[in-house]
Amino acid sequence: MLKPIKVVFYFSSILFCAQQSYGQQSKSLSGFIRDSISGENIIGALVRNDTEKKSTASNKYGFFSLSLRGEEAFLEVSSMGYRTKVLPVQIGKDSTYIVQLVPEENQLAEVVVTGNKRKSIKDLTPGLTQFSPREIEKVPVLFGEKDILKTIQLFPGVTSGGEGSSNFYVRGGGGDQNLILLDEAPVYNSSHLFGFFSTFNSDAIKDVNFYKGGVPAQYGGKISSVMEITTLDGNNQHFNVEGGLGLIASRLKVEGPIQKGKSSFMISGRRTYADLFLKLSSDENIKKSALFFYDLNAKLNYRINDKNTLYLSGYFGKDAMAYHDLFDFNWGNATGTMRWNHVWNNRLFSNTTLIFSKFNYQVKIEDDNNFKIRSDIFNYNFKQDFQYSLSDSHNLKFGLQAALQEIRPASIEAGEDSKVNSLHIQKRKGLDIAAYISDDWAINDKFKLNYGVRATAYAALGPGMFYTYDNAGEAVDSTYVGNGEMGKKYVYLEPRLSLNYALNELTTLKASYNKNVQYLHQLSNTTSSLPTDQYVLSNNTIKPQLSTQYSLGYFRNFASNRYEFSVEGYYRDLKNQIDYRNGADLQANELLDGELLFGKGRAYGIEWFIKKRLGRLSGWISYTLSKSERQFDQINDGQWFNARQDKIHNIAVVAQYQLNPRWNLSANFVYYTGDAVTMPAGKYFVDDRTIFYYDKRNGQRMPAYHRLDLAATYDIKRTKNTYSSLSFGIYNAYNRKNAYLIDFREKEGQSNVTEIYRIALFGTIPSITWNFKF
Amino acid sequence: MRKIVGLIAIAWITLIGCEDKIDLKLPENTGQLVITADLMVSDQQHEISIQKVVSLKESMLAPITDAEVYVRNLQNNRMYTFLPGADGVYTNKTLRLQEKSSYRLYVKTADGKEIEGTSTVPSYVDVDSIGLSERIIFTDTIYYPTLVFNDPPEKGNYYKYKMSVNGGELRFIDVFSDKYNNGLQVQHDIVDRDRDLKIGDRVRVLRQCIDLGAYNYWNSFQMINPGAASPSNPISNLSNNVLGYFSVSVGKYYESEVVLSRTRP
Repeated sequence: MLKPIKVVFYFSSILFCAQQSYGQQSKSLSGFIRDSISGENIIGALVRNDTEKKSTASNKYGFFSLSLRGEEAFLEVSSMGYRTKVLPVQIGKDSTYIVQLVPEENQLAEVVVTGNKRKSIKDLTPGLTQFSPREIEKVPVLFGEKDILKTIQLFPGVTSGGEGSSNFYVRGGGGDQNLILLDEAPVYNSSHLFGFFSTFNSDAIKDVNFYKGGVPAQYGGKISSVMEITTLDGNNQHFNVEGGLGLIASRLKVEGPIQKGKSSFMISGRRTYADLFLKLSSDENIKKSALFFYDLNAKLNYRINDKNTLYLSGYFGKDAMAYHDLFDFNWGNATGTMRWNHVWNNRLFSNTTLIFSKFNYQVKIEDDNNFKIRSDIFNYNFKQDFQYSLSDSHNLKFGLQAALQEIRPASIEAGEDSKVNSLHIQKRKGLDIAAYISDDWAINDKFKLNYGVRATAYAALGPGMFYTYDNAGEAVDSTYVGNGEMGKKYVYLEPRLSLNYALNELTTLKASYNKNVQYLHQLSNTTSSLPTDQYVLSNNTIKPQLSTQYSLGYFRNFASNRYEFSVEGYYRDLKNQIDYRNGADLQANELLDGELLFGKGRAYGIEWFIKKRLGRLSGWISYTLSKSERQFDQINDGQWFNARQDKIHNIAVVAQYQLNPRWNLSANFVYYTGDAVTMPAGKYFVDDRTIFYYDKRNGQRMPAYHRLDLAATYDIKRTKNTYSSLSFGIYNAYNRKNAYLIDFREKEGQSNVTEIYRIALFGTIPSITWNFKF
Repeated sequence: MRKIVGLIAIAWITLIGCEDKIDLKLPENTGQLVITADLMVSDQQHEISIQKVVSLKESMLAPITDAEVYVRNLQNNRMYTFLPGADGVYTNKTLRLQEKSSYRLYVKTADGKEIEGTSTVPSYVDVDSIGLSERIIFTDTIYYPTLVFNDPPEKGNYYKYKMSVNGGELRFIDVFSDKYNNGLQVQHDIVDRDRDLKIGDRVRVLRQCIDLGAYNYWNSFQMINPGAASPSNPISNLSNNVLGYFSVSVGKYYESEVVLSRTRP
C-alpha cells in the first residue's frame, strides 16, 4: 500500500521543485468562459495567446488558467458554435476573468479558417472524441430518439452490441469495461427496455468526452473506455422550456434562473407511453399490465461568488414491466452528486465531489409461487481534484479518490404460503482508493506530452465468507472476514502517457501508452445484456482485470481545416478476463466464484476516420479493421478463440445536408461483421429430443449487419431563443432483416428434422417527432 | 429465477421481432461417440443407446453396434453384460437396480476407447396428487399436467420428467432440483414448450428421481436456449470426453387425460 503512494509523493516533489525554478519566471491568469445568453459554462473552449504560442482549454466547469511571461497580452477565446472573442488581459492580477462568448447566429455559414491558427484542443489528446449533443442532433436514430450511446457507435473503435443490447465495445474490450459517468456519478445500467433506448436524455446533456485510449490519470475504474457526460447547468438568465413529442416517448426540459446570474436549475424528464396503448385493450389482464420507462435529470447550481460554485445534480430512472398480477419486473438507477468548485488563485483550481449512485432490480411473482427477488448495488464516492498551472509549459492535475462499493446479490423473499424458500446471499463490499498526478507538458511548439500515474489500492471488505476453489471449481477452504476488516488487497500503478508531435500546422502524430485496472465486474452469459446480470467485486479468487494499451496515430487536417483525417492503430493486452464454466449456475449461488474461469485476451486494430466539418454537406466516414480474441485453459481446449464481440469490419457513414434554411436532410449507413458465435457442428438424439453438438467456441459468424437510416428535419420556426421543428425519420430504410439471433430447433411435429431460424428485431420503422423550445 | 428473466426477455423479443427460416452452410464435425444410459429400477429390460454424432441435415440416428457394454453393481461387484442390437440399443434382462445403490458403466469401443461412468439410485419421493392445469397466456390456453408433492428436508433431490402423448414416444420435458424449495410442498408443472396439448389428449408422464450427474446433464441441456451466449455440450458424467450420460434412477408412470373441467359453465 505504501510504495505507490511514495512514488506519487516523489513525483509531485520533483514537480514542485521545478515550480520553484520555473514558476517565478511566468505569471498566470485565470477565469471562466460562459455562454453570453444562457450563462452556461463552456467546456473545452480554446484560450490562446498567439505571441507566446501558448494555449489551454477550459475545463468541465468552464475554468481556464494560462501562464504567460509578459505583463499584458491578448487572449483569443474560441469554441465551436460561438463567435471567437479577442480580449486584452493583464497577467498576474488576482482577479478572475469572466469571458462571455456569443453563440453564432447563423451556424450554417462556412467559416474558413486560415492556415497558421487553430488546432482544436481535441487534437491534443489521442483517443479522445469530444462532442456536444448539438453536433449529433441531426443524426437519425431509432424511433426518432436522440441517443448518445447509439451515436458513439458510429465512431471508429466502438462497436455495437447489436439491436436490443445496450452494450457497446471499445477496441475489443468487454461490455462491462466502459466507465460511464453522468456528472461524475458512475451509471450502472445505461439502457432502458433491454437496450432499445439509452438512459441519457440528450436534452439535459451539455458535453460528452469519450476516451478509448490515452485515458488521463484522473480516470480509473474500468479498462476499456471512459464516457464522461456533463449535464447542462441551467440557464441562469431566462426561463425556457424545451421538449419533443414522439411516437414512442416524449420529453420535456424546464430550466431557468433562481437568482438571475447567480443560480439556476434544470429539470428534464422523458417517458414512454407504450403502456397507455395497453389500457385500450379489451382484455382485462392486458389492461392491468404495464410497460414503461422514465428518466429524470435535475440540476441545481449556485455561484456563491467569483471563486466558488456549488452544484447539485441527480438522475432517477426506472423501467417497469408488469403483466396483470402475474409478474412485476422493474429496475432503475439513481445518482446524486454534490460538487464544490474553488478557485484558490490564478494557478490553482479545485473540485470536491461527493457522489452516491445505485442500481437495483426487483422481480415480484404473485401467482402460486408468491415471492420477491431484489438485488442492489451502491456506490459512495469522494473525489478531490486539483488543477495547477505550474508554469507556462506545465499544467498539473492531481487528486485523490475514494470509493466504497456495496453489492447485495439477488435475494429471495418468500411470501406467505410461498412455494419457495427465502434465500439470502451475503452482500459484498469493496474499498477502492486512488491517487493520481499528471502533467500536461508543452515541451516546445511541436511536442506536447501528457504523462502521469495513477496509484490504486483496493481491498475486499467484510463482513463475509471468502472461499478458495480448486481447479474443478469445488470450494476447498473458507475464511471469514469480519465487519470493517479487510480481505484480499490489490495495489497497482497505472502509468498513463500520451504524446503529440506536430509535424506542421496541419499534421500531428500521436502515441499513447496506458495501463488500466478494474475491480468491479459484470457477469453475463446471455446474448443481450439483462438488467439482472450480476456484479461481482474482486477478491481472493477474482483478480482485477488489467489492460495495457499502445496506440499510434497520424492526424491531418485538409483544405483549411475543413476536413479532418486520421488513421490510428492500437494493440491491447488483457489479463484476468472472466468467462464461465459449462452449465455455470450464476444465480443465488453462494459459491458463485467457483463457476468462473479466468484467462487472457488481446485486441488490435486500425481505425480510419475522415470528417467534413463545415459546409452544407457535412459528416464523417469511419472504418475499423480489428480483431479481439481470448484464451482460457478450460475453454476451447485452451486454444485462442474469437471474443463474441470481435468484428473484423466496422463501417459507419454519417452525412447531413442543409438543403435550405428550413430543411435539413441526414442519413447514416452502418455495416459490420456479425458476432462470433458458437453453432452446432452436428447432432444426436436422446429421449425424442435433438441434442446439438458444439465444437469450436465462437467459431462461426452471424450474418453481416447493415442498415440505412434517413431523416429530414423541417424548421417550422427558429429564432435566437425559440424553435419549433418537425423531424421525420425512417429507421432501416431498406428493411434489412438483420439477425438478432439464429437458433436451431426441431421441426414442428418432426423431432428428428432440424430447422434453422432467425429472429430479426426491427424492420423499417418510421417516426415523427415534434421538437420545440420556448 | 434466471429462467423467469430469460423467458421474459425471450417473450419480449418474440413479441416484437419477426421470425424467418433460413439456410446456412456450416462446417461439420461428426462421428463422435454418444452414450445414453438411463436405467430405472422398474425396468424389466434395461436399454443403453450408443450412437454417433450426425450431420444437421440427417434425420436418422447413426447407431454403433460393435461396442462392449457392461454395468457393475458396486455393492456386490457383479458384472452384467449388455447385448448389442441393430439400432445401437444394448439390452440386459437380468440386472436389477435398487434404491440407494451405486452402479458403474463400462463401455469399450471397437477401436479400443474405454469409457466409464458412475451413478447412484436415489429414494423415490412420492407424489401427493396429480392433476391437470390450465393457464391463459395472452390469447392462448395451455394445458399441462401438474404434480404436487412434499420435497424431503435433505438437500439434493432431483426430479426428471418425460411425457408421451397419445401413445407417442416418451419425450424429455424438464428437470428440477430442490435448490429454491427444499423441504417445502412443491408443484411441478410439466410443460412441453414445443408441443401443445389439446382437449382429448391422453398423456403418460414418467417421473424419475435422479442423481446429481443426470441432473447436471439435462439442466445444462436446458440452459442452451436462444439467449445463451455460448452454448456447449451438456455436462457429462462419463469419462474420456464422451458425450451423453449414465443414470440409474427410480421412477413411476402417471396417466392422465386432458378433459374439460366439469365445474366450468
